[in-house]
Amino acid sequence: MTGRARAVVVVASAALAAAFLVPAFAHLPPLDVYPGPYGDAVEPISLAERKTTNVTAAVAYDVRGFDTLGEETILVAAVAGVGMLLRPGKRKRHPPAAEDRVRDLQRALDASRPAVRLASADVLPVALVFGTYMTLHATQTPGGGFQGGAIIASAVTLIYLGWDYTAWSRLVSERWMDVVEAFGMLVFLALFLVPLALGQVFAANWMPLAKSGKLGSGGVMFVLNIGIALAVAAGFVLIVAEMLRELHEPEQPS
Amino acid sequence: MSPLELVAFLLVALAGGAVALERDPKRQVVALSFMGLVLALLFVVLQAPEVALSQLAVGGVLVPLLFLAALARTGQRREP
Repeated sequence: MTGRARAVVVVASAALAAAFLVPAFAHLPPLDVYPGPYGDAVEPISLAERKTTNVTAAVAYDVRGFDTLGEETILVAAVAGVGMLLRPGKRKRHPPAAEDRVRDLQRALDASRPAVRLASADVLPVALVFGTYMTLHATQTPGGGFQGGAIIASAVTLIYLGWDYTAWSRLVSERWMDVVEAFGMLVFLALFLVPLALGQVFAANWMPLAKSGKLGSGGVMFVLNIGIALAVAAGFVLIVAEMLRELHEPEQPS
Repeated sequence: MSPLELVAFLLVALAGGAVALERDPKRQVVALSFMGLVLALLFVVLQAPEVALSQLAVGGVLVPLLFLAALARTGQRREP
């Protein structure tokens, strides 16, 4: 397809899409008009009964905790899929030979930008603290375990971006990430199963609810978010670690 | 629609167009990261801060990093 024909197709489809989208956007109700019943039903529960000021967290981890369990299982399954594809099978991986490592290190040092390293060194601890803060304040401010875990994972990738693969492979242990991810997932599952032993419903909020607005409010939600943060952070770091190992330690045909 | 929403939507459209019209994959990744940022901004304007935080970390950092790793790996095979 020539460039001109492609341009015609683009303009025609854009015009067709615009013909539908523009009136649709113009007729959108403004943001302060809420028609649905669910929000009105959930909002009094979350503050009065669950002592949480972050209503989204109350919905995601308490009222609809079962959905979040499914989502975290999906994430763990995705990480397992990446591991299945990229981990060595029968063919053992050969880490690069000594002279290759020296050459790679030299190349990395030549290419490294001190500014990037400085920026990474400055941002990494701040981002780690921020991710932890977001996880612990899940029930009070917007954010939560998933967001905090993703931020922590992004901070850990700065080790690779600011330095090189040698630093990354030395500091990030895939085995430990496996353990942490599994532990986070197990914490989540265990917290949902405990109420069954206590004679309550599955995924009931069985821990004592602190005062709303205080750290640790929301009962079981506080610990759930920590579990989620561990699972998500470790999961993301695992995915990045597998991809980077695929890049820097390619399989040698045996 | 308020002017702020309009600006946010237009920015997203422009960023998306930039990603699609860029031909070099390495530059596309940078454009993708910028689009992740702009999308997170849109979500904040639409009063969904939790989604915006997730989007910022995942679409702004992790997905572009994975793309770059994949690009570097596929580029590796051509080297002698």
